[in-house]
Amino acid sequence: MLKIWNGMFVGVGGLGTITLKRIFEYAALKEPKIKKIIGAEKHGLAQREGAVDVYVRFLLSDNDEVPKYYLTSPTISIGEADLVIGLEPVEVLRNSKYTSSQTVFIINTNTIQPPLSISGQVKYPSIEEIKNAIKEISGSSKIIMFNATELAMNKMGQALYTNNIMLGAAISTGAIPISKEKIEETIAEQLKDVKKNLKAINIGYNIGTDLLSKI
Amino acid sequence: MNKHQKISKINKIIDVINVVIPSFALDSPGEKVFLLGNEAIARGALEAGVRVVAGYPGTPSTEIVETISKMVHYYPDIYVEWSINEKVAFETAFGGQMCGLRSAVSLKHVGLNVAADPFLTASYAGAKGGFVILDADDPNCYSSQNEQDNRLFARHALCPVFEPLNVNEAKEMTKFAFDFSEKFQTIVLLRSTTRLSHSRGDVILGEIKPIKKRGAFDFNKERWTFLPVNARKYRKIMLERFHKIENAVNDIPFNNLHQIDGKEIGIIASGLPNAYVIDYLKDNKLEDEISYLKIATSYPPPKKLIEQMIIDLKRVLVIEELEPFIEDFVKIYAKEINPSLEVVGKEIVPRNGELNPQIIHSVINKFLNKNDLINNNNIKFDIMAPPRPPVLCPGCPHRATFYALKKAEKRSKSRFIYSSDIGCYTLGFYPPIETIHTCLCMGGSIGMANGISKSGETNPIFAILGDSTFFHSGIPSLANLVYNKSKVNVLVLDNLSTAMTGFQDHPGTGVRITGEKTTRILIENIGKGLGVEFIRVFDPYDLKNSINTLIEAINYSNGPTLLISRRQCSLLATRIKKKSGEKINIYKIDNEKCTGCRICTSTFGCPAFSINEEKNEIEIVESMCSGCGVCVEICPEKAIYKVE
Repeated sequence: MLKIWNGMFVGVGGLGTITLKRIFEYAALKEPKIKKIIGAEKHGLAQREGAVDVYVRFLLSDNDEVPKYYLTSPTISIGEADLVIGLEPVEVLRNSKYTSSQTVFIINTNTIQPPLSISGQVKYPSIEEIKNAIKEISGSSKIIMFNATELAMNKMGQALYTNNIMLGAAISTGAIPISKEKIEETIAEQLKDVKKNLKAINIGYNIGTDLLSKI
Repeated sequence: MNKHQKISKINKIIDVINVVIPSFALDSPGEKVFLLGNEAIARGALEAGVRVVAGYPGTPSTEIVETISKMVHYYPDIYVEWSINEKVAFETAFGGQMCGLRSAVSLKHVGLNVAADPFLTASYAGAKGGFVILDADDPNCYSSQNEQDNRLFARHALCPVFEPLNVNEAKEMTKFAFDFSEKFQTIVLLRSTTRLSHSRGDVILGEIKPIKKRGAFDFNKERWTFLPVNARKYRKIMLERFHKIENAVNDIPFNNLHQIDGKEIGIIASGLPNAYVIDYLKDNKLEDEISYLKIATSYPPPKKLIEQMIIDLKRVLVIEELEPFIEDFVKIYAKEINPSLEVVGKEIVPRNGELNPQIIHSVINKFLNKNDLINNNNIKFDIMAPPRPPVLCPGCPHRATFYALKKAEKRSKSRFIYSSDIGCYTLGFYPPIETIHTCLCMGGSIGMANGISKSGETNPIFAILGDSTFFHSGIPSLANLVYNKSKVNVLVLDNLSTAMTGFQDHPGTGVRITGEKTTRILIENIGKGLGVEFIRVFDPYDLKNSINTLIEAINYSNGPTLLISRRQCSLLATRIKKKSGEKINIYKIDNEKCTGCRICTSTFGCPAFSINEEKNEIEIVESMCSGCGVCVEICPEKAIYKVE
């Protein structure tokens, strides 16, 4: 059986969206049932504090033989996302047409207001409004939202660990077709301050487990 | 020593200059690796034995040359450079192939415009040593001023175009392009697009061809000297060569016809959109219902394959990004062999922007008269996500310069004209900065300003461009200002880097692509050499001095002025500080003093400011702030202070 898995990570330039994607890709290389990995990212002008959306796609199969040409598109279509990690809440809303009732959401509620909102020209919606809209558009019940930046600052002393807290929460939902061990192994290979990053994963894992049980 | 030990050893040796050799630089045929499209193209060039590589940075093509520059530490015979512009880069690579060496120039779509002059003539001579243009187009203008389709450009030069559909094919076709170039003695253009260059996928490594140590100039001077007599001769040779290529492309394995007998409809796609078509056909179980031609050599198109496919069809859909390039050929071929064929193309496939799975889905459904996808994103919610265009980074020295410009403008009681250019600073177009009035092409700011200055306009005129842009194509236009006595203030925003494309060095930094030190060329010295009499260098973080310098410049009436606002890019500066463990200054707002005038957010607009809705207070987000301290000067209440 061939199965395609789609991850969509959205955020703002500079938040580490591409690094997060890279962890998924390197970890996927370790997972035998993932036969093919493909993904799209943004570089250059678009990165400068602008909206960033990246995709990572896996072709899962129990057999070794997979078609040469399948899962060739680096981007996804309407309703196809299996997992959304939103490093900024409004960016999830912006891309919510890619989600469905099957989508699992991990969303950082820490907002980064675009200049138009800071100068008061366009209203930045409240977290409640964002949550309701995402719920209505996707129809999904698995929407996990918490302030990962605050958590990183309070528990780790640096906002740098935000994304790994988010990743930990995503692992806890079971929505990633890669084991926790393989992701941790990848972090140990690819990132500096391994201990702290693994601690961040566990903080995220615990809060994710907790929030999921309350849904 | 195994492969990884080898790499780690080399990386240790070259650690001093901060280069990490990618592990895929080694020769390990058969190994499966996971690469960025541009890395795959670089690897393809390496496998082909490329020896001379030149380019100018430009999204989405930059990582091609960057990747090769890292490989050089392992393959010291490869010569790689950032040239000052694409024209020079093209000529450099062309010189390499004259010596029988495999050579490549890498550029973005608009970069080929800069290299158009050599390209359209070099194409007559073709290539001796194998010469490939590694081109990356930008449908949807993600990082560009237009979305021109370089297939048309290549057609103008009778230059074959190869368009891969995924990352692995990008590697394979790059390698193949060099062989093809040498075999047919032609230049080849390998066309990637943003989506391919910046997507990642699996690549199977191939063998690396030995890299020639030395080339030798080919003294066949007729071929390289385009006097009319030689040009006429080589025009004929080019046409003969092209005729052979037109036949050869039908047998290239990257083109693939999947013909279903007895069916009356077919789909033809070119380049990356093939990926969307393949997935669509498989997902909808239509693989055996519709004839499908995957085209990888979009120019010249594989005429025989197209004819073989369309001869018995009633309807065919042509899917391609941007211009109706293949579509026009299909229409011409159909006229000869199947005049009643209905060719569907740009009437349902968008001619602007990038294609994606969703668009392809709609297009094919429309072609097959099926219902379209249901879009669950209703308009009510769309309105709620405020737009987020890219902006200047926190601490960006350009913002400080622009703020000084606005202050000087106010003080001078005139309206400044900001003729601008291509670079990060173009983002100054957006509110609240709005100090950009034009942006056309690399180096275009000075020429346009010159024209405006001769049009009876009495307001002060600024030509704003970056340091790398100045070297790229600003120098001749500055000479033109001096020569024609034009009253233009040329403002070079010198952040000591080609920042927008990822901090490449250039002649003004005194460092080569490999990290090697070289002569540093100072912009002010160029100005002096060209005869500019009023030249000032200032630090944009010193607002008071910046404003005074700008006022002084507009009052200077004897010809052009050259103003250099010099301060390292804040992203780069912060990165260096963090690496060396240097402390980054922390700034805060004293809410007792803050009156809520919002000059910081509505006039200065640094993204490190945020509004705390609950308290209705402005705060500085520590994780975003670069610690430049410029906001201390702009606050009229002196409410921003440095935390000691």
